[in-house]
Amino acid sequence: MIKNTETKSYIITFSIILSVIIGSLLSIIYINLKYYQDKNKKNEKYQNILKCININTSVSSAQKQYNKYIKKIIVVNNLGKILNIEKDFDIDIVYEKRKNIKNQKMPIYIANNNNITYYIIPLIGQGLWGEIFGYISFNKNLRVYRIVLDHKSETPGLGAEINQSFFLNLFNGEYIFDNNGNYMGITIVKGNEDPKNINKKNNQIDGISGATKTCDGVSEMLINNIKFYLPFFKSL
Amino acid sequence: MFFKNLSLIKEPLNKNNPITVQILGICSALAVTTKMLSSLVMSISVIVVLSIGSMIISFIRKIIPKQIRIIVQLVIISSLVIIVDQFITAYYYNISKQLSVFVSLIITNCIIMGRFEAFALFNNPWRSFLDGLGNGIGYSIILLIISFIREFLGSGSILGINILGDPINKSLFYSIGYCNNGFMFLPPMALITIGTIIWIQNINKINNNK
Repeated sequence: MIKNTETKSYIITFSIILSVIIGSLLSIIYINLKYYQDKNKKNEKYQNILKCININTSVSSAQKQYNKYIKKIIVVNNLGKILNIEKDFDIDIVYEKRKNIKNQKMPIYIANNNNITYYIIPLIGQGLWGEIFGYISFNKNLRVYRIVLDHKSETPGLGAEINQSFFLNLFNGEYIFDNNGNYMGITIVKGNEDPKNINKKNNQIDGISGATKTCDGVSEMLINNIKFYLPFFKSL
Repeated sequence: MFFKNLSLIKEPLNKNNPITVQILGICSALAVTTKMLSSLVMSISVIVVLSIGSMIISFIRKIIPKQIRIIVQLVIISSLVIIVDQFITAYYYNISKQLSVFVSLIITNCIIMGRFEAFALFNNPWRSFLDGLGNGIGYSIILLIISFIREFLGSGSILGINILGDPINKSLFYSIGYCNNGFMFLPPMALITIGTIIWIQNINKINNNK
């Protein structure tokens, strides 16, 4: 039985032993589970990229379907120059975005479904409370085909709704250039008089009530991320 | 022995409910109850962390130095939450995506610290486990009631399934002019809902005493 638990030496010893035990336990658990967690994240990435060409797949067949539909990955810089062509699945977009724009290398996933070619680009941005991210696909006319969005910590029921189909479907067929060929991106607006987004040429999407800041983050993410690829797309 | 300790599970369900009587965990009751699914995930996590955490704190209660007991409790809670999150990310990835937002909320949930201080530090591990379990279930019941009301009135759905029709395509009730009550997503409405539940509970208590 420990008699005196209030001496300085006991407190320090207890703290050190507790820290070592907890730290070791958490490290062992992390190392042993890392393989499964990485596999889940990779499968999720396959599924999200495939959703951009309207292919919904289960976790177990995600990699097989990805290999079937994604023909190649191109890595480009901000001038549209192709840096290398390889199946480089693991480019860290967050890390690339932190570099100077001249040094960034960003991937484009080139997919083929029913003999139609699609260009899928990753998206990364800032929502209200944390990171927002996703993928957007274009056909050869640079109209949006599909978009997939997700978030780390947006408000449930409000900003978190950006990953729901009722919102994502509004982007289908949207134009990113105006009638004069100027790049506009896609802006999410309040009080849009076209709530079902029937007019695809206005470069606007109706926002989610109560999620203004998250939607502003999505607009900024779309405008900035797509802009990077414009020199490449113009060369097509 | 189990029946002797049954009151530890029964009391927090109503008479000594952590949210409506002890007034603990109000923050998470406001934050996570916009959707029933989030509340369900949060409830299960709190039950696990509270019951196992109480048992661990009770095991080491005689060797924890008084001066750093709060820090020790925080370390135990944080570690349990991280362990739960790591396992769910590995084996139930879709659920972990719902949980990740609320991981930090579990650590700051005062129900857990409150029960450690009020019970686990003074009772044996089995009783502490039962107390954690009972309070976790009592917390979950209130959370699910509030989230049911907020989600149903706020978006016309339960657990993500549209009950009143499709608000986008205006079907069922929406076709005759029904509108979702957007106020339900705001924290003050959660407080009003909790207040109403406390009011009903107090009326019941007075009537039972008569």
